[in-house]
Amino acid sequence: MAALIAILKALRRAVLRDLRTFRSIKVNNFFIFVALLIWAAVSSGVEPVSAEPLIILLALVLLFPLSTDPLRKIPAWRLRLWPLTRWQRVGLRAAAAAVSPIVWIAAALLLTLTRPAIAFAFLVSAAAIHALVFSTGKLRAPKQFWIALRHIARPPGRLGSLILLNTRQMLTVLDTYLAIVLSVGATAYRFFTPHPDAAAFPIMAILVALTLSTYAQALFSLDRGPGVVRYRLLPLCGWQILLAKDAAFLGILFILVLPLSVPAGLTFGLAALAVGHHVSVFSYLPLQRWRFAGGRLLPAGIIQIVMGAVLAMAEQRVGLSIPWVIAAVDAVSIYAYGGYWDRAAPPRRHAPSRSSLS
Amino acid sequence: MIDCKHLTKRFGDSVAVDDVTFQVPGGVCVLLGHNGAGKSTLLRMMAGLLAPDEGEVRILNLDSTRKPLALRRQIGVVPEDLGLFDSLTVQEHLELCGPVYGLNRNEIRERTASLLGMLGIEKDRNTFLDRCSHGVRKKTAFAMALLHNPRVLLLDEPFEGIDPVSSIAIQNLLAAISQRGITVFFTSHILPVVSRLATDIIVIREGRVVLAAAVARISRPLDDLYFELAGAPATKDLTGDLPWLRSSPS
Repeated sequence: MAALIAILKALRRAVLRDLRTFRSIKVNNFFIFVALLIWAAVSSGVEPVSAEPLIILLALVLLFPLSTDPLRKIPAWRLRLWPLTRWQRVGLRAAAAAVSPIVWIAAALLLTLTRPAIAFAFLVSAAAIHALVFSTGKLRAPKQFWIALRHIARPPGRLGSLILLNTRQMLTVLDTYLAIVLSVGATAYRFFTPHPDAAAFPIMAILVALTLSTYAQALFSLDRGPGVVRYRLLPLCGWQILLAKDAAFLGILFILVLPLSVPAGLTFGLAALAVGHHVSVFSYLPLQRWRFAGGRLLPAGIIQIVMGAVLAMAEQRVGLSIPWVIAAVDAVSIYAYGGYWDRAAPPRRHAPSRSSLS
Repeated sequence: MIDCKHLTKRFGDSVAVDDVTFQVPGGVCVLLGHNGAGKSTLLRMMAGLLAPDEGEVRILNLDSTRKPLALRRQIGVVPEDLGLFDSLTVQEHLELCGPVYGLNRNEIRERTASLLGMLGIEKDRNTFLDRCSHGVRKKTAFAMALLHNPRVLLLDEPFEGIDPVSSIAIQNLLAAISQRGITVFFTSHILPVVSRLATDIIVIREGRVVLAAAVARISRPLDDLYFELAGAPATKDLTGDLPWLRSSPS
C-alpha cells in the first residue's frame, strides 16, 4: 500500500506541474479577446451569447492535452521495473483516474453549476476525446504526425530549411490548431450557407490572425537553449533568422485566411509580428509543445490586438495600401530587432519540463 | 591559428575563466580539466557564443566579437548542448547548414552521404532528432561541424557517449584532417584518446591555465601529469561512507 501511495503522490505532483504549463492561456491574445467579449456583454447587462461559441472551441482544443492518461507520465519501462504485484498495478490503474484534471474539473462543475447536464456533457466529451487519444496512441498517431511533418515541402533559397523548421514548430502549438478550427468553421459558413454575409469574412480572417498572434511574441521559445546556440553558430544575421520565422508565421496564416480575406488577415498578422519581435527577442517566454503560447499582456498583447484590428479594419475601407505600409513597418522591425538579437547575449538555458516522472 | 589573450569570464561572484592566455599554432590541441574547471565556458567564448568580460579571442586572425560572421564561416563547432532542433531529421540538419554556408545542392548531397556513411548514421538519416539516441545526436552535430569544410574545429567533449567503433573512426578522421591543415581544438576527459591524438595539451584548474605544452615535450605519462595538475582521485575506502550498501536487503 505504501508503494501505491508513494507513486500516486508523485503522479499528483507531476499532474499539478503539468497543469501549471496551461497558465500561459491567461496571457494568450485569444483568451483575452474572449474575456473582453464576456466583460463587455456582462457590463451591458446581457448574456455573453456571442462569446459562447469561442469558449466552446477553446474548451474543445484544451480537452485534448487535458485528456491524456495520467499514468503516461510514468515512463512505461519505469513502471515495468518497479516491483509491483498484479493487484497493485490494477489498483494503480484505477486510482490514477482520481488524479486526472478532467475528473477534478467535472467534479467542480457538478458542485458549482446548477445544471448537472453541463458537467455530464463535459465528462462525456472528455471520455470520447480520451478514447480517441488512446486509440490513436495505439495506432502510433504521434509517429504518423512526425512522418506527416516530413512531407511539408521545403521552401527554396538559403533560408528555406529555417522556414520549414519554424513551420513545423508552429504545428506543435495549440494556437495553430485553434486557428485551423476557426478557419475551417468560417470556410464552411462561407461555402455551405445559402446567403453568407460577405462583411463577416474579414472579421473571421482577423479572428484567425488574432488566434495566432500570441505566438508572434514567442518566436524563439520553442528553440530552447540548443536551437538558439545553433542560430548563433550559423553565419546568418539576426534579421535573416527573424525573416525566416516571420515567413513561416505568415505562410500558415496565409493558408488559413485564403478562403476568407487575405488582406485583412495578413494586415493583422504583420502588425502582430512587428509588435511581437520586441518580446520574442528580449524575453524568450517559456513555451511547451501542445500548449497555448503565452505572451506579455501589457503592452505587447493589447497593442497587437488593438493595432492589428484597427489596421485590418482600415484596410477594408482604404484598400491595399495598408498591408503594404504595415509590411514595410514589419521589415523595419525585422531589421532593428535582428540587430538587437545579434548584440544580445544568448538566454540562459530553459529549465527542462518536469511534468513527467523518469 | 588560435590566439587567446587574458580571457576572463565571471558569473556573478564566481570566476569561471580567469586571465587565460594561450596560442595554438595548428595540429590537435586538447583542453583538459575536471568538471567545472571552465573548459566549456572557454570553448563557448572561443566559438563566439559567449562574450568575454575581459581579453580577446582571435581565430585565423578574426576577432570573435568584432567579426562574428566571418569567423562563423571558417569554424566548425560541436557545442556542449549540440545545438540541434527536435523538429528536423538528421539529414535535414545537414540540408539546413549547406545552403547557409553557400554550398550547392550537389555538394550538400555528396558531403551528406559521405559524412553519414563515415559516422555510421545512414540508417538514421530520416529520423527526427528527438527520437535519436545521444550518440546519433552527437554524430549529427559533428557532421554539421564538418560539412562546410572549416579551417578550425572546436569540439566540446566529442567522444562522450560515442560507441567505441565510431570513436575510433572519429579519432582517425580528426588525425587525418589535422594532417590536411585543419586545426582541431577539443575538450575531453578520455585520457587514452588525448594521448593518441593530441599534439598540444592545455590543462585548466579553477579557470586558470596550469599547463600549456606540446605533447612531444612532455616526458611523463599523461595520466600522472593530469592527476598531479588537475587533482588526484580520492583513495580512501568510499564504501565506508555508505554502510547500508553492505547490509542484507530487507
